[in-house]
Amino acid sequence: MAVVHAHRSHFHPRKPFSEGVMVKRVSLMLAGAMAAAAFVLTPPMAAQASDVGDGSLDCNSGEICFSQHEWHEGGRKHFWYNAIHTDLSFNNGVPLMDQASWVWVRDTRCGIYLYDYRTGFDHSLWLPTGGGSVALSQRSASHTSSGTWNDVNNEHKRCSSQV
Amino acid sequence: MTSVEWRGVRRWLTSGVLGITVLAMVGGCGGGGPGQATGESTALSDAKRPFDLFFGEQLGLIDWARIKLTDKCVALRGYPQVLQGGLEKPYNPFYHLAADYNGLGPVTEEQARRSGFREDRPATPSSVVSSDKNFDAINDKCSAEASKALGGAQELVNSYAMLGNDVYEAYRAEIHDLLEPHREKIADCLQAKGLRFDRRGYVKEDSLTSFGFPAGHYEGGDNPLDWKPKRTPGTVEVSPPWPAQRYVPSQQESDLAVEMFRCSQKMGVRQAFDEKSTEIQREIVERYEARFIEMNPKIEQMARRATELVN
Repeated sequence: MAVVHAHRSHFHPRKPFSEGVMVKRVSLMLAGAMAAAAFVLTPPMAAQASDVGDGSLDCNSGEICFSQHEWHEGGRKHFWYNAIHTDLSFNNGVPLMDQASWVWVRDTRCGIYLYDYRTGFDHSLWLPTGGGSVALSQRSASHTSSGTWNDVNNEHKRCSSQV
Repeated sequence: MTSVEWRGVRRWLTSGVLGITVLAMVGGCGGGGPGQATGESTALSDAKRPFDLFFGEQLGLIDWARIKLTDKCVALRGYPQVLQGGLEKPYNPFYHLAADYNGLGPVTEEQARRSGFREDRPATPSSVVSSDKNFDAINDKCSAEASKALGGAQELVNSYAMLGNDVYEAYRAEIHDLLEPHREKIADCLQAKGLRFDRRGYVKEDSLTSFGFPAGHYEGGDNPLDWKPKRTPGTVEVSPPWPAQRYVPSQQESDLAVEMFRCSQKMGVRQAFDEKSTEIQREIVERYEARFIEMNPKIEQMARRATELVN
């Protein structure tokens, strides 16, 4: 069985945003109002990985879509069910765990909870469905070195998290 | 504690922006400390949970109604299957703000032993898998119409969800700082029991990964129904509803959760938290006051509209 976060250092000191993150943030701010239109027009990609959502690299209605980088860049992974991200990969082979920067919830039933295993399950980020693409670097987190939910995805649950 | 000035929200209450709803809500909590000069401020001093000012139930109702209206519209336009196995009733997406979740992990030793630091998966609605581009367009159109019928539900749900997430993260940050000295004591307690871990990572970052335990699993895995869509072009498939699943922690996770629970009991961590919790909540509500004031009346109004439209 995989050891949680065996590939990460144990200690994550709080620190200001790295330069790379800052660049991303600035570019996001500049892009601002264009976001809503831009993410709908996903570029066609030739590679069709069999394990990606409905078999299409488009993020279609019904899917919960993760991208490795913002603006749907890099690998993609689409779901229509609950999933632990350990041992899963984007369509380009990059591990999904701790590598998602962009989420688009198109599940037609409800929103999702996103979890980071560093903290317990009383800690999550709730993302409603239909809310458009979400840059996880824009979602503040109290427990991560970046101060955001970027690159800390470990699991998602659909709809209510309560049994 | 009760003498803490809740200046911003008091202004908000006395200005009548929220009016009766908030007064009724906080007044109903009972208990509290010494009364203050006016009926309104007495209600405030009695308020045990300032986070009740986050209207999670109404948010859930609005979200549920907009999805229900969307499904009805989609069904009428050629996809009646979407009515199968949807979400039966609303849920509060921010239940963790409404209940006494305190960020301290398991609340009983039994829970710690059974589930470690995590929770079971609840049963969830069916999944809709589209292999039909037309469905995409219809669903988007219906979703926009449903949102509009409610008075801009999508935008308000998005914004209020951001507020809920921001409030909870702020709360977690305060708890983190508050409990750091107590984590030192828990770390001493765990080390005295012979556990080896990254002490600094735990004490400074409150990171469970500092203990390096293996992950657990859900009984039945991620696809307990073994359901797979056929993906025939031009079709929209609906899965069966998904069953609840038990989380099974690794033995190491379970053992650690039990030991940590015992240590936290011994060190009085929960008492330290309980003493400060209301104060922290109040400070955070004040910090986000402008967004509460802007959105709470809209949430109340839209929740009424949702009830009218769905029933």
